[in-house]
Amino acid sequence: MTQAGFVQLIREHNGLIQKVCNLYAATSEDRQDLYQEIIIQLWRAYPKFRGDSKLSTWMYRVALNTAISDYRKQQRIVPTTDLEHISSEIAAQESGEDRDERLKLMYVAIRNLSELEKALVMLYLEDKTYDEMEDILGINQNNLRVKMNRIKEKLRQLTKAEKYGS
Amino acid sequence: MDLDVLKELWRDVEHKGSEQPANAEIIGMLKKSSQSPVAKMKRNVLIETVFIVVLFGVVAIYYFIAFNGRFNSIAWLYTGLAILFVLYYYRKWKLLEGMQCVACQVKSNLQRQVQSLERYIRFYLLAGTVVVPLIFLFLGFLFYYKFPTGAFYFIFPAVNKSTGAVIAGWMFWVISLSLVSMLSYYGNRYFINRLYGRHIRQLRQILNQMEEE
Repeated sequence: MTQAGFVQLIREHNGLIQKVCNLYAATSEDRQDLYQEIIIQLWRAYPKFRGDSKLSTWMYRVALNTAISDYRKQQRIVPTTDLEHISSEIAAQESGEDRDERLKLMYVAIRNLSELEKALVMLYLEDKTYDEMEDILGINQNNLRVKMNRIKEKLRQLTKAEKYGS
Repeated sequence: MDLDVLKELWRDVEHKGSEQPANAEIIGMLKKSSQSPVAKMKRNVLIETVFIVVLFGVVAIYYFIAFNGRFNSIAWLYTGLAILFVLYYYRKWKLLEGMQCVACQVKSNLQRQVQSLERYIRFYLLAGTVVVPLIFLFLGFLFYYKFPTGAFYFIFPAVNKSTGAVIAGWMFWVISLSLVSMLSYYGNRYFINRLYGRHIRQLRQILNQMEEE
């Protein structure tokens, strides 16, 4: 693939990369660094892409592998995400205060999730099927369902705790 | 509140669209070097190899040329050491090469990283521990080469000295080398733990989370 073709590919799937960066990096500088690292890893890995899986699945693998296991900077920033940034952007568009408040609570709760749980939540929010999640993460579907149920419960508890200040 | 509420809001973020970087910006990123831990480790291995080859090469060339070739054997010794170091770095490089598979499933990539990193650390620890007593022996050899009649009482006894002196010399060397090896082992273990300990613990923790039912 030519450089121009690759750039086009990145532009088409930019949202995917940005979302991973938003979930796994706290500051805009860290987000920029992670974004760059993911682009470099995608560029290096692309010649070996044989089309065995969907392109988006392949991109999720590279992006999540880079964010979770291969990006040492994240160790300093693991417990945080900059979802509040997204939250405020959405809040600006939303009129209902209740919706804004609920969103804030949920983002605060997501910050407290582990690296793996963040990946699961993201894939869930992206409407990925359990089949696709298994293909990306390598965790069997039964285990994924159990984990998703736990995460939902954990988020419920966390948002409750956040709401009532416990 | 549950995840389905967030899903709805998440879609709003998507519709809003994210900031698109310029083409030139993306092309610029492709020219930069990776900052991943493995890429950094590979760069370090490369720099160390070049440093050792240049340093030992210069010393070997010096001994080959100077003193009318009387110290050729020293030059060969340095050449041999340089080859050993290159083999050591080659092994490290190969271990690092197998450490990464960014396009693999996240779990298998983590397993690969943990296993490779553990192998890398074991090799690093073993080589780091062995190299210190080896350097001692090497220096001892150099000393005997220069002073074949011995010196410093029992530390470097002459080969033709009495049995007692030779035994005392051997005892000194065995004890001091054992101590140095032990210190080298624990020193290396501490250093390696500082370098990779946290990283490998974090990888193992994520892997455990993935594996638990």
